[in-house]
Amino acid sequence: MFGAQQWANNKAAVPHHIVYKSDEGAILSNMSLQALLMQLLSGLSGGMLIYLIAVGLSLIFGTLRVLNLAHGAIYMLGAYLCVWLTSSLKPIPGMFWWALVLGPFLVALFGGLVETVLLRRIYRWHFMYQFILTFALILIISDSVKLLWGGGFRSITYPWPLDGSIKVAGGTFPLYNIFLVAVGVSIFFGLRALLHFTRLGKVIRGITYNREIMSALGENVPAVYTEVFMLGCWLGGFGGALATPLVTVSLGMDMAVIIQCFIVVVIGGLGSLTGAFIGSLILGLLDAFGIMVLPQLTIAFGFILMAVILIVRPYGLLGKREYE
Amino acid sequence: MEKRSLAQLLLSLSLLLALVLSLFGAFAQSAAAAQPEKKPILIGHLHPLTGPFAMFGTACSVGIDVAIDEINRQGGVLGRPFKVINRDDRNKPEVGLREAKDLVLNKKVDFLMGNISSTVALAISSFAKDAKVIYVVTGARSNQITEEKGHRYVFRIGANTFSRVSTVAQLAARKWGDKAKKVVMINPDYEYGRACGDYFMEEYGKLVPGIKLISADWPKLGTPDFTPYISKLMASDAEILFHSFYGGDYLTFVKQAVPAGVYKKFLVVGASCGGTETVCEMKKDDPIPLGEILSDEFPYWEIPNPKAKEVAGRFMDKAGTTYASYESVLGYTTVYALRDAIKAVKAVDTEKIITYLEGREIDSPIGKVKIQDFDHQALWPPYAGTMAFTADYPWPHIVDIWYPKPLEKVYRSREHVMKVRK
Repeated sequence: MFGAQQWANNKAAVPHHIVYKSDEGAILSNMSLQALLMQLLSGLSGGMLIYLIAVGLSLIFGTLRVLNLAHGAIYMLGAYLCVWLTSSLKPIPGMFWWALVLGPFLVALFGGLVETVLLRRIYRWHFMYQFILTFALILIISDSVKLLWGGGFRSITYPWPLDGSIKVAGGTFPLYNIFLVAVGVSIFFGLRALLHFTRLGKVIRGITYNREIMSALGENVPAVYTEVFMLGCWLGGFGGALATPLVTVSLGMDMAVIIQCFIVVVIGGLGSLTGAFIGSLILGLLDAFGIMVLPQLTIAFGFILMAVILIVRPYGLLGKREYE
Repeated sequence: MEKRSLAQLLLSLSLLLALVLSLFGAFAQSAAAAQPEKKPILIGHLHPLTGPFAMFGTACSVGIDVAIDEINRQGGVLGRPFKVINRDDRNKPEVGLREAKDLVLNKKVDFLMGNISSTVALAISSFAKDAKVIYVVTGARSNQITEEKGHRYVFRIGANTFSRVSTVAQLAARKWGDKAKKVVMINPDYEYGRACGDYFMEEYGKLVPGIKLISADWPKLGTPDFTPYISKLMASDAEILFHSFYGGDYLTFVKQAVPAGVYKKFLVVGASCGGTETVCEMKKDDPIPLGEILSDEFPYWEIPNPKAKEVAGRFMDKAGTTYASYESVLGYTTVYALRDAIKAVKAVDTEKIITYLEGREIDSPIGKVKIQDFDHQALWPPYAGTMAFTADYPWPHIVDIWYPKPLEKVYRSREHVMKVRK
């Protein structure tokens, strides 16, 4: 279509240094209700994915007072296990769903091992040792994952029967993302029910409130610690497994997510499960609607929000004041 | 008294003798060592060998190893064998710089090569300039390396960001120019993504008059969920979508965008998805970005030179993979270019080798490739094509490959380079 001469002519005809500016304002003014609804759904599903991971971090901190830096690595481990189980046992129909059950369970067992063998030894020490230990865990898990499954990209697609999309107000939306929202909300209410209506939940709340008194009352605090840490790891692994049809599983996937998780728990209040839920929703919706107004600042939304929260309410929206 | 002095004399004599003997012995030993086994020519190879980018470092290593094996089997060059020392830069500029310094100052390597990250490459390049050591960049793509921050000691064997984007923009203009004037962009938010966006608008705008940028999105690197971006894209009335995702981000984007109908709604152009090591993970029944225009630096399945496929086979055997990587062919070509230069100037002499390579057409598995004399950038063809799934390969790849001829058209001119260097 373009000969050399024509190419040269075109080159000459166009002045250099044209500044191209996108016309976001026009998009905004043409914004239909349908498009807004789509952004709302996207924001909800993105937020729920982060919630599933962040809630485990918050739960562990609330009870054990351990900021598990390796929580992202736990998420990555869950994702790799899910991909590995799904792709190596492919002939079994619906293997993804079995992997979704089995993978996080294995991650929880791993968490139990970490708690009993490693973490338990350092609760009494300065919290700096927790950082060193959990940071070391990141390195150990990452390199083990590389050793076991190699450094390449891994990917699986949406599982049956959630591989389609549904029509919402004239637009299409992937079914799997709707499923994510449903799972996120169920986990939220499930955890609330666990904490408020079961004996274990009551003990956990008691320990969160005062560890020494619960111990004096004859509760086996170390056992509860192990259980809570395993539950937190199960949540992280479950989040990782649920994310696999959506994301690309690769080394380094943990880093992007752990930063999001920290933002969420800072917004919501570290240790508060409801706070993690609300924080995730705010972050998801902020990302979804923010890109419509100020796409140049996408990378900064979470951090700006976090900075504002830290100035106005340093202990987070639903966190408790601790050092006063 | 006399007895004692005699004993002293004997002692000092024997000591002297021992000293002379040991000196002589050491001398003889070193002379003997220099004779039969010649000192190897050392290449310091820097690349991520652990972490998320390790696959690129490993791929480059494979190319280097294959080339060195072949050359050493033929007796090396000037009777000396090649040897590579691999170092992990962990994709961090400070680590890359430290390792490069150690390689040059302590290991006394003759050449430096490698790197996927432009930030790391720029750090090593500034050291190479001071140390007066040749540094051949293979995988890093920023134009700054050879343009703004280019110097006598840095070379790049491989395409660059501008050449890739310019090529895909030209192919898109040839194919779709008359019907695609409204553009949307989505690029990762860092120097590479920003540069890709600017280059695309510049190059596509030159060929298609009256284009309009409807929206531009800048998600951060490693975004796990593109759903909000995709729903925003789907609400726009643009005709052509440009993106510069690669690696994991590309796979994630495709996986989420194909089911949402992005590839049906838009004509899609990508800068480069990151080569075969990225697409090899897509299987037949997965969402495939069919019809997308992309660039790839080593589409050996369509390169007319028969050596390309043959060498690709050697890389696959060495690496044990079902695909051959562009990093392998660039590492391979670099080692051969250094071998040929040493052979021609008959010495491992940095200055003479640079002068030899400037403006030279070097041999490579894809054919002759010219190294420009003013910026040391190789005119490597940034092949562009459309994504398809054929029966011959288990992963999607570009077909109907094309690039503008002469290649000077997609690389920056001498005037441009001189202007930005000022």
